[in-house]
Amino acid sequence: MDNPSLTWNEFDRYFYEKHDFYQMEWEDIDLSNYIVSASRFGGLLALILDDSKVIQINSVSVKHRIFIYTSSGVLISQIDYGNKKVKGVGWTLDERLLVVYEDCSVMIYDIFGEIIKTVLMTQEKDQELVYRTVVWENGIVILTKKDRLLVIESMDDPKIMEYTLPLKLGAVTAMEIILPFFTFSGHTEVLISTLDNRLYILAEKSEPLEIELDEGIVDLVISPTGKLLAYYTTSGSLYVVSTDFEKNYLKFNCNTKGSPKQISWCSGDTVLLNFEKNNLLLMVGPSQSYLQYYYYEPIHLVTEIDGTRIISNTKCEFLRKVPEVIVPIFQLGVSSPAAFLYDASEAFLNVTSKGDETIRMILKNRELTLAVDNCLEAAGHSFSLEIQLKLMRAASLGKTYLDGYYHDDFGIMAKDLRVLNQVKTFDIGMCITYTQYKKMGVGLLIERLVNRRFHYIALKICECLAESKDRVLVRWACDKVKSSGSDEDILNSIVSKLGKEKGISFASIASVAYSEGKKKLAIKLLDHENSASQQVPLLINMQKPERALIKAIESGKADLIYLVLLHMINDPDYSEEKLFGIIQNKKIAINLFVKYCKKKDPGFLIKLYSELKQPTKIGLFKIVESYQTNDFNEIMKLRNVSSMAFSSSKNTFFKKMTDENIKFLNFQKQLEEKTPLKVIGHTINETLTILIKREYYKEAKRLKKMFSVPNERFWWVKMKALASKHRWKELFDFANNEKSPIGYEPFVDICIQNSVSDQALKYIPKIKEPITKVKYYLKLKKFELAANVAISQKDQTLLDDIRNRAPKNLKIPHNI
Amino acid sequence: MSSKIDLDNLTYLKGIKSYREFVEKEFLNILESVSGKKAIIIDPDLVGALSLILEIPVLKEHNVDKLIPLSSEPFKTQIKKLVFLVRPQMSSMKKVADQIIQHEQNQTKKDSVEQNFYVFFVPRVTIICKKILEQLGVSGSVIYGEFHLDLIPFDEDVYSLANEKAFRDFVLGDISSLYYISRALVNIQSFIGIIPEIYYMGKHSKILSEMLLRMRQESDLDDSLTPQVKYLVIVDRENDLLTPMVTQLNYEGMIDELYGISHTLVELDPNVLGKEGKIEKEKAILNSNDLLFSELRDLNMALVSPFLVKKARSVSSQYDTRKQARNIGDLKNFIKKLPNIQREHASLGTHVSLTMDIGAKTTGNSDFLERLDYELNLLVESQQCDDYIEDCIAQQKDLISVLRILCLQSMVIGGFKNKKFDFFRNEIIQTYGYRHVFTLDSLEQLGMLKKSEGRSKRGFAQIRKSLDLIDENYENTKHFSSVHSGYAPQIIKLVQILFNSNQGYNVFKDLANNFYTPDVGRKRQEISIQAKEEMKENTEKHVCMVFFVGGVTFAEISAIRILNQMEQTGVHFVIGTTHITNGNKIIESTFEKVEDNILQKKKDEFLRNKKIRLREKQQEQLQKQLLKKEKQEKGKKKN
Repeated sequence: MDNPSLTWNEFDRYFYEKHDFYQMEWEDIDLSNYIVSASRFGGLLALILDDSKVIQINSVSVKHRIFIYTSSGVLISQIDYGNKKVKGVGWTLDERLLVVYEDCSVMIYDIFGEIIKTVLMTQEKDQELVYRTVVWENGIVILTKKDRLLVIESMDDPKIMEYTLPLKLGAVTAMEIILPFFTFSGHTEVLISTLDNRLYILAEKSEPLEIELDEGIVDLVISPTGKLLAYYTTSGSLYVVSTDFEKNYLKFNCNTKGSPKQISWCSGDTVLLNFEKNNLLLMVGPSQSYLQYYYYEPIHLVTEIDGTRIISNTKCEFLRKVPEVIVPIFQLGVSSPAAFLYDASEAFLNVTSKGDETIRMILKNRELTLAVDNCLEAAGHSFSLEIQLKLMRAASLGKTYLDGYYHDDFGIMAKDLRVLNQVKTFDIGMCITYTQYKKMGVGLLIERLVNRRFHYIALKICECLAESKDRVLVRWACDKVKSSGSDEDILNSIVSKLGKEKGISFASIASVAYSEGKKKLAIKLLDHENSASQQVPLLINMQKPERALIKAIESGKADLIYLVLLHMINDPDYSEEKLFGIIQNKKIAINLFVKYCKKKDPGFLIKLYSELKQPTKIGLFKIVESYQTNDFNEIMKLRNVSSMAFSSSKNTFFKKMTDENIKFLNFQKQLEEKTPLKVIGHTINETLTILIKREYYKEAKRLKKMFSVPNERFWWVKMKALASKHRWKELFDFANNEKSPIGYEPFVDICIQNSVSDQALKYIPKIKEPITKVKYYLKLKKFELAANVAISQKDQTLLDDIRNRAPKNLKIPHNI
Repeated sequence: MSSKIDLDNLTYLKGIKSYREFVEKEFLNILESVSGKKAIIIDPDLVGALSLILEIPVLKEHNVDKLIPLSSEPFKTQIKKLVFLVRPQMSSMKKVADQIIQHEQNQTKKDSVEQNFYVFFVPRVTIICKKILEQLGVSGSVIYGEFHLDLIPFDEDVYSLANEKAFRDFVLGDISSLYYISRALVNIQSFIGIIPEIYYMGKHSKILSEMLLRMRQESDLDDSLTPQVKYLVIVDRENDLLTPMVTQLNYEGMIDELYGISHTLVELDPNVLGKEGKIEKEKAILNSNDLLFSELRDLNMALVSPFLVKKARSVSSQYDTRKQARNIGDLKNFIKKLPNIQREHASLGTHVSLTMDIGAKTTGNSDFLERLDYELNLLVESQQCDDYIEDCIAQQKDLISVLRILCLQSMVIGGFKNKKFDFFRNEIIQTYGYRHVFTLDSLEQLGMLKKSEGRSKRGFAQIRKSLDLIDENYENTKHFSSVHSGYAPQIIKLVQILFNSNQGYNVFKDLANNFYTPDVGRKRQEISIQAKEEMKENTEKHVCMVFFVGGVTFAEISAIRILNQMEQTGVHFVIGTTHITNGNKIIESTFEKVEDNILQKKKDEFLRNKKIRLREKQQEQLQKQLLKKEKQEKGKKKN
């Protein structure tokens, strides 16, 4: 092949080239009859018959239809949209078709004409009609005939914003938008030009900005980077200004009759004007330079980030600035390391030694890595397979001379080229440049392929690039589910292909099956789902609560169990019996349900317990309830329920305790009636204490007897109560009245605690153990008394010990 | 003061550091996602947890103006963004709803600002909580989120979910925390690699192990990381509720018993540390950042004082090196070491004071010694102490401590005879109140307090013999029975058996089946061949994480550390747990918290009325002032 630079045009210090992607596959299409809308990144074309044209083809089949073609002119589908009037068409990035109808309704279709979403921009009663519209990748601007400006920024979450228009809006000549990520406000800005030489900039929640111009604007276009605005005026001039209108870059007089059909940006700062009537495509550069291309057929321009796609009746071409990395390799009379490497590689093929010398020379200049990188990148940007191959060969040769070259780069480029060349073939018809490919990302490419139902190729690309295959497989399965065929065949085919893959969302496949009305298939598919969080909600939707509950329990996720339970409680279709029937034998679910009911629905809880035959639980729960009321009768009522419950569960101890508590409560009640005491709510011990403190000894004795309080405990209670009131004499009488069942040490202790040592001394002689007596005497510093004990015990060592501890002035005997 | 543990010099589980950084970053991202000045209203128990992963002052840098503990009490603020950080507990939801509604009502008033509410659930949002908030009248204007604070490094070798309610939930049959544990363990595996071998013992542990495997499938963990932990042993607290009833006698356990340790912090009365004249409690951090403490924490209390004396000598001799300095070089060396010496000195001061206070409360207290005596007699010889318990009840000693010894005896002797059983229960209800029928019911359900069913072959006496639990020679040879002065915690003993080369899995399984639970088993998680190879090349000891479902005591943690030093197993153990527990906490979790709703309502009403009265008064005064002014002005005009 010849040197590619032979086809380049030098223009405005750069080179431009035009490449033929395809000869159009379609026949008998005359673009002049159609409005064309193309999807970015070499994507699909939507063709609609232009109403404003005199209809030359009078067949019904063309009316009210949108035709979807690939860039290579292969018809994919026709969408019949009925008796409406289309005002605008656009593509989302993943190639869903956005259609704006005159009645202010917006529909999103998939490629095959299925409606995905409908959005109404105005209320029906308003009877608004669309005057003009701009559709972009994920949003819409509508100017209605009643002068309302409506904006949706995201079709995924269609919130309609209304912008304020100027009071007097002249006849509109053109409308354009600046995308949200290019504006200061972060919201879409709308530009509207009018016949009365005005340009308005409109934004959300702000007053319109008005710019007065010397002449009227016929058409205007924002550059793909959002920084530049090109507009064409009534006098036939092209202007390029910055979008903040601070800088004027260009004024160019086109000297051409009539207005351009289309203005388009091409590779950065160059503008294309399509003067279709003059068969002229005019290219204007920033420094007043221009280039003329002649077309003798209608064309449509598609602005891409790195050039312009030109669709005509016969061809799909691409006009771009030659990427800078390619230029020095092929430009005649210029030498660069990459060019040397390229030549050397060619020389190798011709088996001359020149190649080796050249490479060593580049290596010596330390430019070989750069040369290899440049050749690789240039290969990516080249359209011709032959040139790609030669450049890759050169890169491959060059890297063998380099130690430690990062070989992945080579492999990645080889894979990328395989992918690009594959999708560029006629039948797929995606003419994506390397620059576009890097910008759009593999994910979007795969999404587009899957939307076109090229599942197999998408899968192979995933494998080639080591991307996750899940999405492709799931989408394939979803399409499979929609196909005709027995449930069993579909299931088998899906499971055999997807069963072994990790992380496949069977739930999303099942949900498609369910919405297609294939319920049984849906349930079977759901069995293959690994994640319970996905399974359970779908099973609930499918009215399979028991299955949902089982799956939820298996997952161990309480949240999912509650999801099912709450659904059943709130759904009137589930009677209580049905609910109990389902949760029976599911202990985990019951426990969670109980926890919920305790807080939220006690009545239901009792029903549940009796259904489960757990009377003890009822008894216990009634006790909880009893502590939440102050009403005595209510408490007694609840106690009786508890007592009955314990009796039916044969829990004799709890029954006895409850009956005793009833008895005790009655006792307390009587006491409160007879005396000024407040005792309800206190325990038996506490009540005893109160009685003794307030000197109701008879009642205390009755209470002791009534519940056979052990003597020991009674003594402790009484002792503490008397001591707390400092009734020391009474305490002493109490201790002397009968023999203490708790010994006398506690009496001594309590006196010491209350710092009444004279009282404490009274009890020490009553203590049995001599050594304990000594301990207490020493604690109270009564050394003589301690010594007496030791003497009476005839314990010499003890005596010695006491003497050592005693102050020197005390006369403690030396011997017994 | 930060209780964040230093993770720079880890020998094992190096991935923990980046894990903690990841969690910290997640939290800071949450703060960033709420732009502008904000107040955080936080579940009180989360403050401690949070300070284990980041330093609280950092919050200021992220525009957090206030940190307010969550309660129903109204508070006023001009801050526009209110961020709630709460556990997904039903009781917390009520408080969140109260706050939001109060603030929303305030908004309708003139002088207040429009506020935004954010509710972040820790570690995960639940449907039920959202539902409850909805039912409580919280409108849709609230933004929900999650903060995945699961496993928190308490120390280099202790990782806890800090979920204090975990055991209580199990008592009620709510096993939802298993899901959180599983999530936590799966998450951490993306930092420390997949754990190839899993052993479990207990019904909850079994469910957890199954959940772990399933969740791994779902979450698609990277299996190429070299596993930093080779074994995971999951055990149920419920298998051994006896050990926590025994008083912990290692230093850290003792501190927990006496003062309570929460999130590695202990709060002490100022006089304990010899700081007279202060009223506020002093906080001390207990973790291995304090080198002295890391040497002390596992020691039996009896050995602590001698150790401190030795340490004090060494510190003072280090100071003395200054006097021996012959030249500038020596002095420079000394000054270089000075900060370390000073730090050690300060730490020594704290621990000496603490040890003295513990001494006064334990060895200097006949009640304590008596109790210990009864405990040891029970453990070693199954000697019963009915009279002692009866006496304790008669004196109406603290119910928790009474139930601890009562349950201990019940578990040791395999239950009480019918008459005794009813007698003690009757005594408890008469003394401590009828409402404790719940407590008795729960304790019975857990098997901690029961009626004897004749002689059982699986009783404690058999376990003691088969597992060789008693070793009173701990003071001379290093043995983990020291943590309870001669009684070895059962689960640790079982773990030792599992990794003992002479005994191993089969012996472990037989013993566990025989005495504890039918649910014993092991599972394997596949890892990549490359990871396997790398694990083989590893020359360090293999790491085993022992995970306690339902809580672990400090004594058990120390026992595991001592086991590490005994070097019999060739495995290095670390600890994972739902929370750190002790006998008191376990007993307390069996209490039914009866909320006296009516009382609360009355209190609320009172407060509200008080406010209304106050406002009325203010208005009255205002009017009076206005009248006065008017009069004055009129007077002026006349003049």
